[in-house]
Amino acid sequence: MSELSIITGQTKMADVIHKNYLLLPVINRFGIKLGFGDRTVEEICSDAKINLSFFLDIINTYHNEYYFPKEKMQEYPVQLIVDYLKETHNYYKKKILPEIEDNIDRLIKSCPVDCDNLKLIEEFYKEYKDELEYHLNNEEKRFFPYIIALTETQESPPNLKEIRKKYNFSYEIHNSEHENVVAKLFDFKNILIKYLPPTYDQDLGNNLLSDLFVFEKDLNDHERLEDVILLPALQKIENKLEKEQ
Amino acid sequence: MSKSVVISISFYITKRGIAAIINDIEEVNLIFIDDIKELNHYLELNRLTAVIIDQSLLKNKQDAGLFFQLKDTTTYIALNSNEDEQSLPHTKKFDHIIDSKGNKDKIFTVLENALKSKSKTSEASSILSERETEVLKLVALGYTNQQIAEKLFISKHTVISHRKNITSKLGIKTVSGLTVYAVLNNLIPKDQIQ
Repeated sequence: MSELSIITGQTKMADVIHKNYLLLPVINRFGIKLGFGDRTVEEICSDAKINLSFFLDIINTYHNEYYFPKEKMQEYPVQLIVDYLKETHNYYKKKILPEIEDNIDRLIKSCPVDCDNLKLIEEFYKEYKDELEYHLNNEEKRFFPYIIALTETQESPPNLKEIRKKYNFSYEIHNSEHENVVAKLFDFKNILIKYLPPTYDQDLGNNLLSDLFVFEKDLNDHERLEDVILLPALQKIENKLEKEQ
Repeated sequence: MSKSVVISISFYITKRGIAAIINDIEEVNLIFIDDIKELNHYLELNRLTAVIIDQSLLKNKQDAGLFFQLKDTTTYIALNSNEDEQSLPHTKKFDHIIDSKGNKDKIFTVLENALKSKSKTSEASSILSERETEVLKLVALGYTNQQIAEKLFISKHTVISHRKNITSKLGIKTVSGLTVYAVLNNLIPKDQIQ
């Protein structure tokens, strides 16, 4: 069992990446780029006007499976969490999903004979990508603005009925879409690992699989923030307003 | 195949303690899941040697119901952290109970047995039975559980139970994934996919 340490404000940012290079895209989402020199996490966050405590909680939960300070994270402004999640959406849509698609493309091109199965995989992925994008867009159109409208209004109190009608957010749809995108990604990986005959260049296959593993880790972390922090927060404020109105 | 054990305990020290004890006994894959919904999801998809769960995670009836769809290849161990948990109605369903205040020898013995027992069956073949293959074909062709039940003259409940076994044997959960599997293995022709 490997021991994982907790990253603190005094940790040098360069050491953070030495410890776990998978954090690179995560820190990019906060607008932080390479070339840190010897500056600490705290110094870099302070220069870039990033909420240090939130930044640390995000990278530590990502880095260390034991670390998930639920109560503390429930205290952060919803807007802060939503902004971060939107950045992860952008990263999926602009970077990861097209990259996986390119990798599948290269895989197909590397196949000399018997390539029908690879076409099948390509179709499976296209369907998956469409469904994932649909789910992400749904979150951006319904879930995020709905929870923001209920939690961040300055005038008190927000009119639950009207806001509900406006965004038409459904827990059931959200949860079933969410379960589907997680399960399908898992299936995709497992089909590659266990069942697809390797009629393709192995190095390219490894690249694809490694992208899928990184993406799965990221997606699970993203979904956990929603399930454990945002959805319960939404339910709480809905219940409170229902009682009052 | 190496053994995998899930530890679902919310208290950090207890969790790390149990993990350390298990690693003293045998090198196994340890998976830590604190959320009951995540756990149920994981159990559905994976074949495990043992699950060690904090009883307090099973307070919600619906989640507990899902959790207790037990597989006979997995050993289920409950962890009691306070006394009133000993009398919980579902306590009987567990293979073993550990008391967090229990002495070292007892905890060791329970965990040692848990890692040993059933390990033969857990390596049982993941080949589908004839009936499961039939169900898989129909799932891949886009039939609903009800339609499959009517076609094979079995109850819908039996269809669902076959589907659970298929998913657990193949490690594929979604209809699209099962369809790809069926085509890859020439169970259905590609042009019949809807």
